[in-house]
Amino acid sequence: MKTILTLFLTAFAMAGTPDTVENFTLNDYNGAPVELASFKDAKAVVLMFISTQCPVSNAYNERMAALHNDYASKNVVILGINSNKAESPDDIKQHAADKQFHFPILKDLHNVIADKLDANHTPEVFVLHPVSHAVLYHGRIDDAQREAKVTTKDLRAALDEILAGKPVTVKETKAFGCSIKREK
Amino acid sequence: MIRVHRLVPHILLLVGLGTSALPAQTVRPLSKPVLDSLLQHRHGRPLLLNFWATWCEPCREEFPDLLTAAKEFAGKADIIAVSVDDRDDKESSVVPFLKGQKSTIPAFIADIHPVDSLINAVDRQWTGAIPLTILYDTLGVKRTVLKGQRTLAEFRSAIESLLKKR
Repeated sequence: MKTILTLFLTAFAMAGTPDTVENFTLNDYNGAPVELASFKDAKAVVLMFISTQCPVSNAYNERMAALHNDYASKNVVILGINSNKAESPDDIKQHAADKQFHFPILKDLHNVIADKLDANHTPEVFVLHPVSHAVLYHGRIDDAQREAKVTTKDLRAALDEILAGKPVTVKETKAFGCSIKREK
Repeated sequence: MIRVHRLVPHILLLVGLGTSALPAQTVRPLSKPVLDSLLQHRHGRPLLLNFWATWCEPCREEFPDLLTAAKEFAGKADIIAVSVDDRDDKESSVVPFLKGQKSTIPAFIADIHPVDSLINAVDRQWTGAIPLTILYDTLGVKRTVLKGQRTLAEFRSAIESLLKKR
């Protein structure tokens, strides 16, 4: 019965990007629990699915670090999430140190959160309202893997609109990335 | 009045697909007209489009199985690889990879911009995750979408399913 219920919930969760995200708690790479609801006083919460091994995700390392550096002071919380089955907390910790990521990175064991959000690849971002957890923006960081070719900085545009109290103009974007390597 | 210049990509495509003597390392741009032409001109054969990139490990891992499937179904189904690598990496990355694989299947590199337009032109439900394999029937109608890395058995099964429905 429990298995059937789990399968049903998993199937339901994978039915597309949800309008709102349920509260969750994941451990960071040091094993410390981090709860989504604890950021209710932030202006926005960014869930950023990333990878230590995906070349596309790694092409964005500097931009990810810059996002945190630029928006932390504006009370935007960035949470990295690693759902790849083969990337351990130690891998994530080392990668974060190497790339000077100063934002929390959470290990999504068994890709539970990736399934709930229907996250598919890295990098992929979800910007959430800090209280309701409504998805305000979903998609890419910007429109080119090579920073020199970027023409639209989609995530920054969404965050700037949120910070200005405006509705997000472009709520959904797409880009190529490495599929999240899920446990089957 | 027929605008000849608009027919050029279609003509080149048909010549290319019909000419098995094209070097395996020939990688052509996949524009929207070319994509549409691929779907329109099926000649009684189903089509398998595989979207991949040299930076995608599962894509590289499944590529040999794709080539095996292409050989098994030669003349019965068209199997085409579409790289979503940056076009600047065509000569440095895409062509060498195809050469290393001894690939003989038609190869394209995505040339539809912006990236959303490409992804949505292929499948509005596609998030951009690769590898992605899409199978179209003999009328160019999308029938099967295979997300993620696949095996030879899965490629075979999908193609055979379309061949049975002809």
